[in-house]
Amino acid sequence: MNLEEYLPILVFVGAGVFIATVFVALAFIRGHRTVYDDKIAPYECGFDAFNTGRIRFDIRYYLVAILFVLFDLEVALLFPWAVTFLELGWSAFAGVFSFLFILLIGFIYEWKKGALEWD
Amino acid sequence: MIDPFHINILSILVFVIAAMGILISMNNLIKVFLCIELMFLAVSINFIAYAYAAHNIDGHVFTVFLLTVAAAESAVGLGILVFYFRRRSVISVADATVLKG
Amino acid sequence: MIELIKPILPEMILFFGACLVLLLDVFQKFVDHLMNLSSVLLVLCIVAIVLGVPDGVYYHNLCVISMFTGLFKIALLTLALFQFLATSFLMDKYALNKNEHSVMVLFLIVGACVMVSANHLMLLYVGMEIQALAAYTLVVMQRKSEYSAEAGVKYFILGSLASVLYLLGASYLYGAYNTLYLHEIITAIKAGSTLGGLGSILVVSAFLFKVGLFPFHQWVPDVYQGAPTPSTSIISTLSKVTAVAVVLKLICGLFYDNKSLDTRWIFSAIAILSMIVGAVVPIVQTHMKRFLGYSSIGHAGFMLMGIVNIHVVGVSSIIAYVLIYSLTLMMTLICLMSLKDKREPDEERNDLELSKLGGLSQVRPKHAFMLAVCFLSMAGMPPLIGFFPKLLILQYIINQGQMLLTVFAIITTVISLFYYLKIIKLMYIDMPTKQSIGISVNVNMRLLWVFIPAVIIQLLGCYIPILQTIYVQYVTPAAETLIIGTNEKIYS
Repeated sequence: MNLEEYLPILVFVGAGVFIATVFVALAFIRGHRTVYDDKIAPYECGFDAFNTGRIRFDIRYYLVAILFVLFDLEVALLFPWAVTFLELGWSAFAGVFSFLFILLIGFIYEWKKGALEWD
Repeated sequence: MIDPFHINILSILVFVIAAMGILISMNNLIKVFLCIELMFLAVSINFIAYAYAAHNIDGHVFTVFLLTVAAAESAVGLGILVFYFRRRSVISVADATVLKG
Repeated sequence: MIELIKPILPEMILFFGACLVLLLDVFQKFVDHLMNLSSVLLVLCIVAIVLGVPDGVYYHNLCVISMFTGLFKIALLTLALFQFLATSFLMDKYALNKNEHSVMVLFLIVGACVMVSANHLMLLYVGMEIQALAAYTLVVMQRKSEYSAEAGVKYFILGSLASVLYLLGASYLYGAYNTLYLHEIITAIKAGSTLGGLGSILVVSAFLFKVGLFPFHQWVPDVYQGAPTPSTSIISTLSKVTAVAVVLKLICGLFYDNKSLDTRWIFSAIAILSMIVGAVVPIVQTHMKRFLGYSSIGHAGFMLMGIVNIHVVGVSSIIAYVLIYSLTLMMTLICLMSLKDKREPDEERNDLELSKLGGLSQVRPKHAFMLAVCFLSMAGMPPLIGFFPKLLILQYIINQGQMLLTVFAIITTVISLFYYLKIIKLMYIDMPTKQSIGISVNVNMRLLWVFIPAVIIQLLGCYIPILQTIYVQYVTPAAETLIIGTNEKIYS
């Protein structure tokens, strides 16, 4: 049984736990806490927690969903590159980063257009 | 032994279900979009099956591209849906009867 | 580095230029000059194509550069340039952002160029989607109009179904031949197989949808009517030219010299039925753009006759037909745009009713003359340029002995001459009313810069030798690269 091969995973888990703990602890120690009704509601978006499921959603949720779908699924193109990027070399690196650059232009556009503002 | 032909039948079934779904859900544009996405997925099953049977990587690559392009397409579709809802206050395709002649 | 991107330099210029225009617009810099910047980009792109790489295949056979692709790309860019120069000062009448409009047109051309030079089914799909998504966005650009919204929904649903059809066909072709490269499929399909035949028919029918031929024509009038007129002009010309180019490429590749699959009767039936729809339905239309949409179905059917028997002469006459028809249609739509009244900021139902053209010759004689020239050219009257491609296609099908097609073509052309003449009668004989279009419009004199070249181009039909020179030097070699040179010359 050769357990050394699993050492990087152990290090990785340890680092993850450490970073998470540090952030939570910092927020716990340094953060200001003000409690009010809206904040402790189950859904922060303003829905009633106990209600019929057939209410109409605000149309703005769909706008957020559109942006999410785009930026979430385009990353699917990065995944095959990420697992093999050592073999693929610099040309693939350049290709992926030009793709990310195009996504960045889209992101700047939607930010400046105000699509990320709720009101 | 499962060969591409059987998976082909599966994909045709999913495709036909999606096509029927478009026909019977004309009252809700979101259902129509869901059915179109289902059609894309049916086709990608086909690609994966053929790529697996022939030990050829092209089909897998096509499927990754198909998924992302379909996401872009559904984003544009949802944008059009929001626009349509704001103008007409309905999301029913059956009510789209302003343009005729 | 420059050698690496040289084959796709035109697309690169267009794409990054479009991104630049988008960012400049959203940061509110040089907003008034961005359409001129887009025009400069188009000119740069034409220069890059003319001075570009020699003919051949690039990037491991992914991309083809040939006479055919060069001709179609330059035609697309020239059409877009014509539209930009003509409409840059008309766009303020429409309730849309003219800079975003030109960005979308640039993206549409990027997709179209990718489609024209693609040699791989996946690249063809990606190009088709870039082009289609830009086209959907162009249709819904007018934010105040419910007609625009409805046209967008219809176009989106039917367009997505077309791309699904294409994908299904591509998956069958892949299953039958285990390759996605077009030239390998073309070599393999000669042997024939049921799956491959089914796949090739599905793939071609997706592009017949984009052209707007008979069984797939329902979207055309709705989209033409509902879209704002600048977008109609782009969709009806650029999208159609691209789709015709891809249809030619696919049909010449997949069905040429294919003993196992006889598609002649299918294309004859589609052509005849499209011509009948395009001849009969426009007679009862009352909206100008709807009328143009239905008549474009008839023109598409007329074009398709040239490919029933695949031959160089037929293909080159189709290329001539689609280019000349698109130019004429774009001139007509620009003329209608310049007549738009400012009192109706968003395009409502009555904006382009045919009855509002009554007595136009007394209100706006120059516009009426221009429209009359364009309509007569579309009908194929001899002194004008539209006669030339109609003659080529009729000559070709008569030489091929397709008498049934010839009879239908001549009958439908005569009927279409009737309804074009009906509109000319409206403009020249009827009296103007208070409702007539163009009364309150303040026509900018720069339009003469467009009208004079347009009339000159239309009257080129009087001088056959120059047309013949262009046809023999550019169009016929383009068709030859498509049929003769597909496998032997280019892919070595």
